[in-house]
Amino acid sequence: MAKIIVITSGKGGVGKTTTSAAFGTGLALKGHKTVLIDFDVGLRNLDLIMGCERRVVYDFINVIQGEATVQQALIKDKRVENLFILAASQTRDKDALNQEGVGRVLEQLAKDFEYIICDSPAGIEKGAHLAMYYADEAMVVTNPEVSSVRDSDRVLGILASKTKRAEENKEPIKERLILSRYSPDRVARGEMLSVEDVQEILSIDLLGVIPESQAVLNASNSGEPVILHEDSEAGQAYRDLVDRYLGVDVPHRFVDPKKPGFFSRLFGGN
Amino acid sequence: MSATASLAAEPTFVIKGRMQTLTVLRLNSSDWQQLQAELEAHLAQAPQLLKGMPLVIDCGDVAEKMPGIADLLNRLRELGLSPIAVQNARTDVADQATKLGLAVLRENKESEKESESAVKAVESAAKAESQPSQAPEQGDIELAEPKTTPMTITRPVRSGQQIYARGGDLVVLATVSAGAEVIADGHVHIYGALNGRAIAGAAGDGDARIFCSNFNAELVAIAGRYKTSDASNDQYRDTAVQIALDGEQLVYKALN
Ligand SMILES: Nc1ncnc2c1ncn2[C@@H]1O[C@H](COP(=O)(O)OP(=O)(O)O)[C@@H](O)[C@H]1O
Ligand SMILES: [Mg+2]
Repeated sequence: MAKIIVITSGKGGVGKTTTSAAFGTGLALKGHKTVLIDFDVGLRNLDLIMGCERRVVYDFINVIQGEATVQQALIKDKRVENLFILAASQTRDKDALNQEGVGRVLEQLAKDFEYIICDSPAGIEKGAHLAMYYADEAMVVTNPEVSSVRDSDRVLGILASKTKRAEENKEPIKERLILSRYSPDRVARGEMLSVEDVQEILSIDLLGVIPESQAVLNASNSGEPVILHEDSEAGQAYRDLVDRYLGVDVPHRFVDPKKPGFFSRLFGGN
Repeated sequence: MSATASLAAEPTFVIKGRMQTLTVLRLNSSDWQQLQAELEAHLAQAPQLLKGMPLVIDCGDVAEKMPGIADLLNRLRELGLSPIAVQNARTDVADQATKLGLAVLRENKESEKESESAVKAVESAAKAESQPSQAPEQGDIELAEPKTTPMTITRPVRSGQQIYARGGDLVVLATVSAGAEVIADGHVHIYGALNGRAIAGAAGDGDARIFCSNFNAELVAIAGRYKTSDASNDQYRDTAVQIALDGEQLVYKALN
């Protein structure tokens, strides 16, 4: 049975697309057949981060409207085996998405794939709602600041009440927290909420903490999911996250402020 | 169907007694327009508190000079309130109210005093606890409503969500987030942190209370009397507390 996982948040710019790309790529690297779907109609970010923007012929909307088959629209990743992307349309407007059509496409993909990752647009409007409606699991991406946490809380409420599983009284969507753009030094200075603060407010399982890292921007500029940048902290944090998701017990790294190294202490660096 | 057949079948109704404390709107002025404006402002602070709440209009000191009651009823309903009865009304106003479908309650200056002193008795919460609940007063109305079971919520109540236990108690075994609202006609019990709003006695029952194991509320209310978070209840922040109504005042008391 395919698992449908929505990457959601409420707030924009928190790292949903970055996480969708990294997480989906990570699952594929582990041998799981995975498809990434961009629900952010009109913005089209996922294909840029995955570096396949020049290979988009048909998109998600074309498939929903019956103008192309799923097979025609799926873009196969060139680097990683088992990884496919279904791009969003840049030209259509959001109303081209509809619940029935999304359901039909997901059902078709479920026959072929193990994991279907839905990259949600920001907000709690139609697009975000459609991205989460059919989900089995949700990754709520949150930044360590009050407004982001509040939005995530709201999204968790919607996940628990306005989705297919909720409406049909099935087992609730499994919710996990991804704390992204985390900066231990700023937390230590009291400028950001800590992992504990956020967990206490949201009270859901913590899947991973992704540090704020320049590598994310570098990776997206070169059209590569950051998880492929193995030497970067963000890349390593996403690898840990994927392992944890697949059931390996990995401790959380990158949550404590860096201790000044021996040399910088010696020479009073920084 | 013949009369004999229906005799053998289930009776078409059951009469049940149920005591319910009602919210009384005591009039101090017959300037309906001003009254509506002030009520509206009051409701805007806590819109869920009085919505649809059964209301008794007490004509009080304006009984003699009030023009009638039809216009007032319209204005109250416009605000989403549900007036169901009048008391202390002039005879012609009472007649008009009856024609408009309202009940007319007996004059009950005496029982009002009783109830006021009854409320005073709650002052010592510990004392009130050991007593059976106050005997129903004369002014109370019996309503044939089915008894409802308490509602139990095991998952967090999130920002933007609202839970309403109609006719009974509400038990929440998880966190109530900032921006969330939990409401009950009876007591509200919260065993997680209360970071949002809690409203007990939403249908007007002033004996309802709020119990929470970690108080951090944005707003609490009992029977329409509400309090936002401010300095006066700061000392209870992050502690276990119960909140009860003492007259017009919400009183806080440490639990355990
Ligand atoms: N861990 C991180 N460290 C630094 N920058 C990040 C990180 N995660 C995301 N970003 C940056 O934040 C911006 C928004 O990220 P994106 O994944 O597009 O968010 P969303 O999809 O939630 O709108 C992008 O510029 C991205 O490069
Ligand atoms: Mg995005």
